[in-house]
Amino acid sequence: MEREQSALEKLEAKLKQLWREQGDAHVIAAKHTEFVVEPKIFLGNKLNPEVLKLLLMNYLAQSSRQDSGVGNIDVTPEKLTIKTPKGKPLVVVRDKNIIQQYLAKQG
Amino acid sequence: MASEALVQKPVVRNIQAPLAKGAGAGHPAIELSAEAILEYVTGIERFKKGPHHQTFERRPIKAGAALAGNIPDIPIKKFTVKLEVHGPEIPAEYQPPIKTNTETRLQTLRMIALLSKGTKLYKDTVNALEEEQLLTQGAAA
Repeated sequence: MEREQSALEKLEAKLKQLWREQGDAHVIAAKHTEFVVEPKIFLGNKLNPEVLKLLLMNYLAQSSRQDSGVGNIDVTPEKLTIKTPKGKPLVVVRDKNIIQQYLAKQG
Repeated sequence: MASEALVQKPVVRNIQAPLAKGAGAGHPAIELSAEAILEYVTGIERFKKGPHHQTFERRPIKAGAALAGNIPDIPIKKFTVKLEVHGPEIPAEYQPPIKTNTETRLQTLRMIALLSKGTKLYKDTVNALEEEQLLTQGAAA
């Protein structure tokens, strides 16, 4: 009988699905085989930075203007910080492209 | 010798090969056979030293002549291939270390939960977080 997946494994599968749907997925076509490129979701106990970036982009795309400065997101041209509801920094982004995209959207 | 074992029987399970944008522009998709990828990657000295997530710059086409049968002769100098290669044939010293930092994992899950709020991922994340918290409490008890 097949073992039931743990909640973490289910989450991993969902993240892989998200990657296939929205990520920068590639297929390497060989002569008789195709390699579907998919990331390893967790590297040790941390999230794969590429997957994190995808989640982050989705989050920022959905974030409201009110988030900036007063709520969950602090942004300067150098650094974008997403905070927990209690105000603790949870994600710090220094990718200039992401910050610029976010600022452009806000502007 | 360990490095020979790597060369003989690595198992490629996961390939991250974002063929550099622009590489091969104007050409059909680059075709690599599984054998070519294995041969190519295992032939690189850096790989033998591990860890398994590495970025390789492919040698110029001419230097990769051994694989020429599978790589079209297109004028690109290099592209980046990230491979995760693992399997029973790889000696333990090349396997990524297993870390059991529970707090880091919980923190990672909290981060995913925050970022996925309002999406279909959120429920699964919360479930995973709760499961991990229960496991942590169980281990501590």
